[in-house]
Amino acid sequence: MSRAIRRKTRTYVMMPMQGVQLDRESQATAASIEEAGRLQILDLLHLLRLNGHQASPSDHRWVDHARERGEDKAFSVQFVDSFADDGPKLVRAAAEGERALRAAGFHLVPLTKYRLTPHTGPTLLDTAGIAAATAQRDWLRTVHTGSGDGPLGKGVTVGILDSGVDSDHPALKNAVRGGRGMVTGEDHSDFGPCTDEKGGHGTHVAGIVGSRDSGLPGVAPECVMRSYRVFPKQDTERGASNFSIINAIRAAVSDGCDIINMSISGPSASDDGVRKAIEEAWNAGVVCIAAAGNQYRRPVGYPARHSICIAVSALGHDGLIPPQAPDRGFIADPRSRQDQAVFLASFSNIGPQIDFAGPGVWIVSTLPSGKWGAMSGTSMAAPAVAGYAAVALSRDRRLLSAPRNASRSEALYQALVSRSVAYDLGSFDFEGYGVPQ
Amino acid sequence: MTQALVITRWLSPAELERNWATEERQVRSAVSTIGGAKIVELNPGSGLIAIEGDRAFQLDAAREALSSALPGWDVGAETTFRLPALSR
Repeated sequence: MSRAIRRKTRTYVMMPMQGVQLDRESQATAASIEEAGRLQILDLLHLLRLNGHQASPSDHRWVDHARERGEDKAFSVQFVDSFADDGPKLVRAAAEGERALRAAGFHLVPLTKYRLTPHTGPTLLDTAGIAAATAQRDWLRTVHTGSGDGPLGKGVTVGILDSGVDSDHPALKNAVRGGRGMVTGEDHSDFGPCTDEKGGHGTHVAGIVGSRDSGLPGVAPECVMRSYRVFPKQDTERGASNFSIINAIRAAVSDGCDIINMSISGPSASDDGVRKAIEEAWNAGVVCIAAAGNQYRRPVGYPARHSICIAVSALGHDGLIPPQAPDRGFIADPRSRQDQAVFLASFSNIGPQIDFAGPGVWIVSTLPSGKWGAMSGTSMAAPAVAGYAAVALSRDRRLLSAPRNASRSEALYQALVSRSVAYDLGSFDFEGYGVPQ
Repeated sequence: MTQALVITRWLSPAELERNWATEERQVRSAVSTIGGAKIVELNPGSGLIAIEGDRAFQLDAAREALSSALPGWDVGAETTFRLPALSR
């Protein structure tokens, strides 16, 4: 019986190296490799028609990204070995192609580094839906902050570096005490939510940290929050510039924040400016906490990947996700060996940089205009850990009033480590020290 | 089409404020010597500099020129962060 032939491919973005003009020779090299059957050069239209690949706005963003960087002659290439049914053969063929193309003056970047998964908005909840969320909120909050004895974030300020926060939401009215708009050319006093479809992200994150609603409180309902809007007011899709983020981190430190939550994901490579700003914050006694990213088990993204930044993966509890909720699709292995209902969310990135885990599936929280809704993502897990950090800090008065320096940051980190309980998911890479309690 | 460079100075807030009048002059002067460069925003300790042109080598040349004119500053390309995307 013949073995099934599997067509394996590796797709790259291919562009001329910096300052190199394409000439006939380089084009001829590419053509000869193509003729030899080791690769196919595809244009954008072809790229979008790859098997099983749907065109999405993120693809266009990728092309825009290449163009913004001046690589206006970017091509995509796909290495193909249509007769290989084993990985190594393809790898060898691709490696040969890569070497030849690089020698001809092309720069190759794996396409997958630039993929962003489409985002869907939150699921808005009616009164019944909100009421049904109390058990989930209990898991989010009470289980992990003990019986409620002691302060729940009192005296602690958390900076929300995100898409802006609606401070008029009844659950956030007294919790959000100002902030800044950090986007160049926009009103720096406007720290409110972005107005597009994804603009509710920051408000949702803030509610997880410090909602003061008696029915659905945040993890640290006694803390104070400040909003640092780093995304353009009318279009979160344009992204947040590292310039805005560096300035936001500095502003949060200067405004007296103790903790900064960053539910954002960055470029595939380290950004030195953002890394240094996070280090500067740490040295000033301010701890940065970031989402690991939602790329389905891929390595932890930036800024969470920076060693001085606390990286958070996402857990779920399948007993607390409604039967009809589409987010049940995020239930996956591994499950906790201590509590079979608890699982590592399918979308969560993982790796040795993970410090802690937080609840991040079907999390009900605040949305602009007084609404409530459920969202999933490591974006939701990070603020849960930021809330736990606020609780831990508020319960250690000596640490709270300690001089703001690296020792204070280290002590808070160690306090979280010592208060964490692992769900025993099978690897440190999945949950770090576990969920702080 | 423009690209942008982010410049940062890693001093304490007090030092940044104290030296700012001098440093601001230095930055403005350095930027004015680079063709196609324009200050978009400048604060004590950080600045966003637009560079005319859409080719990577133009940005690299401007980065090199600024780095040597402003030895105490970090000069890097503007990058973009996103809300972590997630599909159901």
